[in-house]
Amino acid sequence: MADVTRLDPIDGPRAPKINYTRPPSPRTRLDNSSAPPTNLDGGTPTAYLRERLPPGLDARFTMVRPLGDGTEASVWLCTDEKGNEVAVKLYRHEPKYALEFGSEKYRTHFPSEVAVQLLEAPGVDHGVHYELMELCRFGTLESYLADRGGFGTNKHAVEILTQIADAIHGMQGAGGANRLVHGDIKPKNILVRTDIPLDLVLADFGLTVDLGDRSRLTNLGLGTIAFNAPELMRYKTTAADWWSLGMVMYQVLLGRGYFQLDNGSWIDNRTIESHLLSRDVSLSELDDSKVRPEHLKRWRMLLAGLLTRDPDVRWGMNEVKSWLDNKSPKVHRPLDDAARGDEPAVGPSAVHQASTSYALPGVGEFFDAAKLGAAMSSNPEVAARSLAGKGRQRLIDWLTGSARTGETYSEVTSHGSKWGPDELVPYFVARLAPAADVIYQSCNISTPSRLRKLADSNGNDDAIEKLYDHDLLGCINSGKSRTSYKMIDANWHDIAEQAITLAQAKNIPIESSARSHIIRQSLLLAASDETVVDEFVRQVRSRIDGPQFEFASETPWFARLRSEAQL
Amino acid sequence: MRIRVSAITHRGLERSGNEDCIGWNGWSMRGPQPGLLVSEFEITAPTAIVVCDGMGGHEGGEEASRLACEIITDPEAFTGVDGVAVLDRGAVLDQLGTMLQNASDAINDVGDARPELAGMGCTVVGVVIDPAGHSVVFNVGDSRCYQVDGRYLTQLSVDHRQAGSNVLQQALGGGKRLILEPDFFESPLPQSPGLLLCTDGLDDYSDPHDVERLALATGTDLVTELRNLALAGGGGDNVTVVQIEAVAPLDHRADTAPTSDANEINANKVGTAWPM
Repeated sequence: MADVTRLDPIDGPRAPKINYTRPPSPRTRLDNSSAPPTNLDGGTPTAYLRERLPPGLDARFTMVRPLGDGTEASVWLCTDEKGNEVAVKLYRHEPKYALEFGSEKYRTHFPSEVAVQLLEAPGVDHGVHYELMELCRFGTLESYLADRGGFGTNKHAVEILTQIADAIHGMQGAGGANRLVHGDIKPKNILVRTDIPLDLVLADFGLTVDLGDRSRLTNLGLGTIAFNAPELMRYKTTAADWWSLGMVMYQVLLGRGYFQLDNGSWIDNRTIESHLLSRDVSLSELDDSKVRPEHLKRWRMLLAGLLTRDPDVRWGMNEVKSWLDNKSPKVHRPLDDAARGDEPAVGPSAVHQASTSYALPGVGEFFDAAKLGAAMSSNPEVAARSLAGKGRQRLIDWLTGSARTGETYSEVTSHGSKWGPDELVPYFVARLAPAADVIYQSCNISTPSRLRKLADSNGNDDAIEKLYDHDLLGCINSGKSRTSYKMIDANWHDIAEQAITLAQAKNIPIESSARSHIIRQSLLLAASDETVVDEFVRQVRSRIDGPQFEFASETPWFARLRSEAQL
Repeated sequence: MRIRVSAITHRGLERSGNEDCIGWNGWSMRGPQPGLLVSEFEITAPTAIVVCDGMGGHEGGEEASRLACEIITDPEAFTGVDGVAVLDRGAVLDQLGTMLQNASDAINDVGDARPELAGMGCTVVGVVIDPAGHSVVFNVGDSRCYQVDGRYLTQLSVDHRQAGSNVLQQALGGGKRLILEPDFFESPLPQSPGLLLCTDGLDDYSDPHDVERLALATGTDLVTELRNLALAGGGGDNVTVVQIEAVAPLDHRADTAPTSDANEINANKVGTAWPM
């Protein structure tokens, strides 16, 4: 017997929203709302906001305003009865803690200079897990940089690096035997306790693990992919936090994350993972940053050292310290893209063509509209199936929203339900990959000569009639070889319609086979130049004037036709 | 707008009862293995037709799917306070979302009040058709809606089911107070074979290629063929298939004799039809 279907939304990747008290109110965010969310369960993050403190906390604190809202929790600025301000973090689910609050290990790894301080042990109030934290008035590093329009001076950027590096080093155990991995270091999880002097501390230890004396621990793709080290897809190492520092510093120096697009959105996780696994992070855009030319070389070295994909040779605290001392530790990857020589630059400049991939099942995933068009040309059946039903809108959404081809594909709308998947494939092939073969109903219709060949061959009546009825030719007039297609299509319809109208006027019966013949011959004429047309007419006249058609004169309409053809 | 609805359901070969349910116009319909039901009627106001697949034990599953069918297809659902049919598409979508949430909450309320029904829930897939022939397909859970597009059978609904398992990500009721996130798809209601609403008793016990082959074949009693396909594939679950297709108005048909195809089917195979 089949398993009984069950509902288990909490474990599902699309965890539903829980309405805690009232309908959601407009959200106020401290953080840049475009920040990529932490991936806690490998699933789609869900917007969430509690609007009221649970009763126990409500008796102690007054909510002032939200400080942040994430997939894991929301954080609120609250005041106690004496007016003291605290940050209250309300979790959606029971959080996991790597270290017990107040334990010796806890004090070792999370001292005040390293981590945001909890004011008391984490608690549970009416089923809601919460933490009371010190209030870091300057918000997150992300909002801090956004408010100030960038990192400011080179000295300030160096101070930011120093502060975060010290915090990571301290959190990890400062070189001691017991080591921790934060696992989710990003600008949103770094808080600015004070501005002058700058005091940065780490926050959000929901993914922190205690390695003990192990060198690594299995990981399941948790964290924020855009800041994750490549190996975090499989396991956690202390080196992963140093990669994240590299990504953070990239954002500090360039004003946006490496995998962030110009419009503030982030490239999808699958694309990021694919890049991380196959290519080095490109540092070419550093040249266009606000970093002064005399400092470029040093920062390039630092980023290359931290953003080294092999965790065994990636920079850590020792190398960062050396760098800060103006030394030049060895970097185990090319410093610039040109030196790599094997692959084009990656990063936003290279992946702007599409921020998400488009999948052709069984064929591949595409980030490039032209390559997708070529693949559709080679796999018309697969492409047609993918365009059935919701598929056509999915592709248009991808082309206009993600690949940003700059076209509207209005013909798809104007032809509406008249075009099915088999018509959409040649249309999109022609639009996306003008040089690729355009196949329709297994017939090659890429060039006028191919059209003539189609019309002049036996068979394919169905394909030719469908091509005619769907007005497809005029919509695939892309590429050098098809500039005349709009005219061919118009002439084709004119010739065929005139013939059919003429026949009807003369009471000549037009059965389906006759219509099919007219359409075929009209295509031959429309797709041919004058020489070919003249030759064709000569051949027809010769044929119907010949003795083999003498008997047809007994049919009145044919006799009239011969007469009018001046034979 | 005139449509034809063909419906069939079966408890399958391994289940003692049928927790699937078909809803239309406030009715909930099921049976262990009833015969084919076919009806043609005019759409004069937005009309919902749904298929629900119950879960949460035999009694709970039946109760949940019955409740959902009756609430979501309430004949007054798309009538404004002034008694005039709601035709604005945005308003229809809003109302549909409200009906789905109401159904979910009502199922949970009953489940909370009656311990023997605790945790009951159901999936739903359905369509709202307006007099202009515009349709809104919607679903919560893993019951599906299919449509033939060209030479292909394509799924319009979205499975709210974890890949490779039968764990649902959302459903109506189920003991969880959720804000539902139904999926919607809008399109003109197609002519034969139209839209197919079905429970997972079809998808889990049949080869999709066979389903497509039958859907593309013309002149078949499609819903019965699909039910038979599921039964032949093991019939391990309740199976329900409803076909909804746009048909030409009676006065536009070549054959306007009183005995339409649908009526012939009614007369020959069912003997009863849905209320006209």
